[in-house]
Amino acid sequence: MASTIENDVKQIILVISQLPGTIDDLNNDTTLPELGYTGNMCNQLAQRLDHYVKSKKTATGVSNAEIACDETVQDIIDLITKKLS
Amino acid sequence: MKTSILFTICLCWATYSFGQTPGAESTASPFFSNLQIRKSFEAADVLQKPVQLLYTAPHDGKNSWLADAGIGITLGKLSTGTFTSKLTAEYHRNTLIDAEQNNFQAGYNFNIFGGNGDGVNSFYTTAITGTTKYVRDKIKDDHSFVATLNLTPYLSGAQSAAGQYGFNLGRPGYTKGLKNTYQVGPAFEVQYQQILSSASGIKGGIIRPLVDLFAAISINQVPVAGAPIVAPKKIIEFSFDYINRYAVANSTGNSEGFTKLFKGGVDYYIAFREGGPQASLGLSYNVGSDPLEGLKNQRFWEFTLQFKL
Repeated sequence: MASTIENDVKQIILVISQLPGTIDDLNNDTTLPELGYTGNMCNQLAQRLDHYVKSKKTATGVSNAEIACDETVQDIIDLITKKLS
Repeated sequence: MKTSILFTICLCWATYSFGQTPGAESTASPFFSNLQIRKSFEAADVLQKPVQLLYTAPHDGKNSWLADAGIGITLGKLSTGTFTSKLTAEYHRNTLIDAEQNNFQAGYNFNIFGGNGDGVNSFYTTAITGTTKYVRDKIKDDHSFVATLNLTPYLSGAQSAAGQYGFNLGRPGYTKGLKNTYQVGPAFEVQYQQILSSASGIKGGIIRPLVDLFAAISINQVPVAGAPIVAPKKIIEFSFDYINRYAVANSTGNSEGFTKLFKGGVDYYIAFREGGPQASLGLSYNVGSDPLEGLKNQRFWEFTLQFKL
């Protein structure tokens, strides 16, 4: 059973990619470049995740440099889960 | 010597990248995961063209070069929030054209990318990229200090109730059914070049504002319904890039005024995996010059086998 954080992060990644489909069809081992992400799209993802993390009342946000553009969906989920734990 | 080192690093990175599976990439060391290869680092995210590398050493006769590549390493300690720092190096050499190009650049690059981040409405920002670097032009035999500031508008269209996305600027977008991938945008830049020494005795400073207009559209292989989500495979891509500059201040006496560079081309993908290795046949028409990259004013057709890792 996927956690709420995992589903939220996958939904954010999917919306920024602008690809059709649902998070059920988004594999965790898919890399951001495989979803068509460019450098600035990774920065946009970092900004969106920063907003998401701060909305959960966490002190530590997400910086652009923390989202390396060769990471997988699972890497991003792990990063956000760690920040919110 | 410096160029040989850069060329070797590019080839080593190419070998390393081809040896990785998508799953393995995430386990690479932080140093490599933050290493990028591009044609240039002056702008944040304009059309991402493959690097070009070609070297031939005939038994008799002159060696031939075509190298248009750069590498960048993110400096984690000097990056925070929306601010990212990199060390970059670029090498531009082409001995296959009328007026040869041989240009090496190395320096510091920063990127500022902020925005609303709420993810509900459209996302708009201006990506700011600055560089300070040393530039060596071996054809003109000069050494320069260069500083550039680039502004690239970035718009990510909002999602409608029907699930369609609005128009994008400065990032890729898709037409209905993922039949086409497009990317359009302008970029604005100011370059300051201080020529420190030159074999011709030219010294002084040049300030060049420039406008860059770029666009690309590809015809895609439509994804199979129900398959895991990935970006569609490109089959053929058409692109153009037009840059117009003007030396508003020039104390060198080299009479540089307006300069322009147009590049239009088509790429046919032999092998394509979004985010992975790509191979394409590229045909492009180039006219104009690029003073900072040591490309003299000329026109030429270029037909290349290109790899993007």
